[in-house]
Order: sequence, then structure tokens, then C-alpha cells
Amino acid sequence: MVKLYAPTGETNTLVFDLASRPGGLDGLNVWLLDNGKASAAELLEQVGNALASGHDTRVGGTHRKRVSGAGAGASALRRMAEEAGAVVNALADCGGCTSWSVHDAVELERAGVPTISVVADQFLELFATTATALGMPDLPRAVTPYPVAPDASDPERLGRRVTALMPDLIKGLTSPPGHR
Amino acid sequence: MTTLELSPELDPTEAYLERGWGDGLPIVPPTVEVVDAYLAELDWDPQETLGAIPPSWDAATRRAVVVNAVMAGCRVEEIPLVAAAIEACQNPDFNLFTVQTTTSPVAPLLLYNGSYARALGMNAGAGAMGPGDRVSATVGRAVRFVLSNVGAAAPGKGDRATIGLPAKFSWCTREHEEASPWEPFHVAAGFGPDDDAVTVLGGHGMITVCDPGDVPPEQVMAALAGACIGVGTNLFFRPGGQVMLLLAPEHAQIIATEGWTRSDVQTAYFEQARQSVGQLRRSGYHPMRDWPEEYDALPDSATIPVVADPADVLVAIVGGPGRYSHVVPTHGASGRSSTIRVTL
Repeated sequence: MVKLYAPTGETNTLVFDLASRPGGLDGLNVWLLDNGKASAAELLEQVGNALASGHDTRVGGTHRKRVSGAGAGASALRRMAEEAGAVVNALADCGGCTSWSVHDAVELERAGVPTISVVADQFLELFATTATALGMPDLPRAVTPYPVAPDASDPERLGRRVTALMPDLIKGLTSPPGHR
Repeated sequence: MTTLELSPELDPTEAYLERGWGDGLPIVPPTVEVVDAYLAELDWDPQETLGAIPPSWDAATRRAVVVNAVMAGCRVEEIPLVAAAIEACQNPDFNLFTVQTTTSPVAPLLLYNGSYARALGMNAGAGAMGPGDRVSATVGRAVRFVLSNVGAAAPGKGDRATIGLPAKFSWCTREHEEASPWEPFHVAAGFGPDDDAVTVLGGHGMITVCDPGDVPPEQVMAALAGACIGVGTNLFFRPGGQVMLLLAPEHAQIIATEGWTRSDVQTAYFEQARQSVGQLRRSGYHPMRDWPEEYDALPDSATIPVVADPADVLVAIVGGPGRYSHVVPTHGASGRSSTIRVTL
């Protein structure tokens, strides 16, 4: 027999707990984290409206990332950690933006902010493996069919998409892991 | 570290490809015997880590670097060049996370400076970007192996490039310092003339530029500028990145003979490599993407440069006789080049 090394590295051992969940939407101050991808702003606006209607929930602020393929940055994350009761994070629909969506969500969860990320189904595998690698295998996600970008110019289709997303999105914000 | 026992009649290349390791070409089997001998010769601590590689975020230990370098066909003396490139990728500004996972076709271009790579015979002259030079071929391949095998960035999995890039097999060269009219690239970047250095740049491939003959520097620069102002490049919809000019020595001499410095080249490129706001708007790139808000008020006739500052035009001298230079566009504002000293 020939003995060979595997070309892999030392497996990382990152494990973090998700933030505790509020149990309900009422009274929640929700922030929107927009990574600037096409349709992200429109989708988040409709999500914000849906959260506010029928609940005593308000959108307390929006942070728009300058670059989708990079992190939100320490100061923006700190501000959300101080002010937001929960964050809706969109849109993970490409390689670099999915990676950094996961990164931002993990950072927010570690800072105690329940965060739900909207991810396109074609990039769910990357989202899931990256969330596991960064220590949060159960990182909440609401999955929507790819492609999302064309919906920027079709509010009705986007509305149907958001309606379909809302149950998972609300569960991700309010239910502890294992109860979804 | 995980080991495998293979019966001698099994092909290691097939066995590794089945596990998702490799690039499709034959590998050199990284036997425990050879890897341990190389580690001893390098006097490296096998467990010391050079950093975590996304998207697995597993640690690239020195042993993992040697394993991947052996797989790629490196000789032991080439391995410090591989380790240095991996360390250079750790600079947060380089944004290895995006380089590894993005849907756009990004690979790290490796540019070496200094006497060590030259003494090893890394080609900087004719055909410097390959093929045929075993040093650059294996060093570049080894860096790719560390990135994909340690980082779990197999195409379609952790690496989500839509089409990919042949430069992901290997993209490595050396500055032709001997043929340059200016100080070496790494010296311009602040390192000493006796230092060995490596620069990594998240490039989107290369665009080739020739010139029509004996033309003044301005026209050489105009030709180079034209190469990267196409609408749809990441440089425009993610303003704030860098671009690298790989100047053929003859182009550099034409420019330098008129008294131009590297800084003059950077300024001229910054001034000429621009796109009209109107054309970007008409092509649909505004306001879809990551445009700065201050661009909103600009008239269609205004022009915006491919980079935010002349210093973001990186200039290196590469190649042999002839007048074909290359422009390396990058993936835009989400990443920057990183230059570090090679530790020997």
C-alpha cells in the first residue's frame, strides 16, 4: 500500500450560538440589510411592508452595502447591533454576495441580533456549507427561486415571491432553532 | 492530518479526483515519505498555519501547503514561493472569500519579484505567462490546489464561477526586472531592492493590446486604456478596484524614452481609461448595481475612470521581444492586490 496525505487543511472548529429569538413580531424594530444586488431593495421594501401590516412591527432603518461582495463593515454591524431588534438580510443570489451575506448574518447573530437571510435556491448549497463553516449550521434562511433580479421591474411578481417567502422569514426571526 | 492508503495499482489522480481534489490533470502523489522529507528540508513546523482558506475556513498548515505543492509538481525549493502567495492572500483587503466563491471569473495572478524566483529560473521573458516554464506552472498550480483543496472550492461547489477561467489552473509569472526601465514593482510598493516579494491580484483574465508601430507614449497609453473600458466589466459597476498593466519591455522602453516614469504611466492611464456615464446608463448598468450615489447627478457626457485613483493602476514589466502588452481587469471594488515579502 502507498500512504498519501489528503490535501485538505486542519478542519476549523468554529461553533457559535444563534441569537435568542423574540417569540413574536409585535414591538419588533426590524432593520433591512440591502447588499445592493438587483431586486434587493425592492424585495426588502415589500418585506418591510408585509412585516408592518398586521403586526406592531416597524422598519427602524436600512443599511445599504456599498459592495455586495464584501462585508457590511464593523460600524454598520455595530449600529445594527445597537438599534435593531432583528435584521432581514438580502440578497444572496451569486457567489461572492452569498458568502458575505452569510458572514454578515453570522456577525449579527453573534452580536445578539436575530437575522433572516433571503437566499436564491441556486445558491442555497453555498449558503449552507458556508454557514456551517462559519460556525452556524442552523443560520436562518428563507429560500426563493432563482433568478430574482428580473423582479425589480415586475412588482406584482415580486409581491408573489415575497408572499411565498413570509412564513419562513417570520419563523426565522421568531422561532428558536429546532422549532422551524 | 488525514492520510489515505492506496493499493499500488490504483491511479492516485483518479483517487483524488473522486474525492474532489485536483484540477483534472495528472498529479504527483503526495506520499507521506516525500512530504515529510520536504518539511524536514524546509525546517517547517507542519502544524503552523498560514491562515484559513474560505469557504471551508479550514487552516492551511505548512504541511497542507507542502502536500498540495508536491501534488502540483513543485520541487522543494519552489515551495516557499507557494507559501508566500498563500500568506499574501490572507490580507483582508484582498478579499479571498469573494475571490474564492464569486460567480465572476476571478483567479489570483501571482507576480514575483526578486533574485530568488529569478535564480530558480521562473520565466519573465518571452512567453512569460506560459506554457512551458515548470517553475511558474507548478507554483501557480500549487497555489490553486491549496485554495481549492483546503478551501473546499471545487468548481460548482465552493467556487461558483459561472464560466470559470483557464488562469485558475495556474497564473504565475515574474517581473522582468532586468528589462524594466523603472524600479521593480515591489520596490515601488515599498519593499527593499534586495527583498523577494510576491503580489497577488484578483484578476479577470487578460486583454491583449498591440500597437501600430513606432508611436508616441500617449498612443500606447490610449491603446492600453481602450482595453478595459468595456461596459459590463466589474471595474465600472463596482467602481473602486484596481487594474494591472503588464507592459512588454518594448512598450515600456517606448514610454520611458520620452522621460515618462511609472507614475506618469499611472496618471495617463487614469486620465484615459474612462467610460461615459451616458454609455453606462444606456447599457443598463445604472442604477442597477453598486454605483456611488454621487454618480447619479452626473450628465451623460461626464466620464468616470476605471479606478478611483492613479495609484490603483498597477504597472509591471513582463515578457520578451515584441509589442503585445496585457491589461488585467479585476473584480472591482470588493478586492485589492496584496504584496508581501517572501520568507526564505
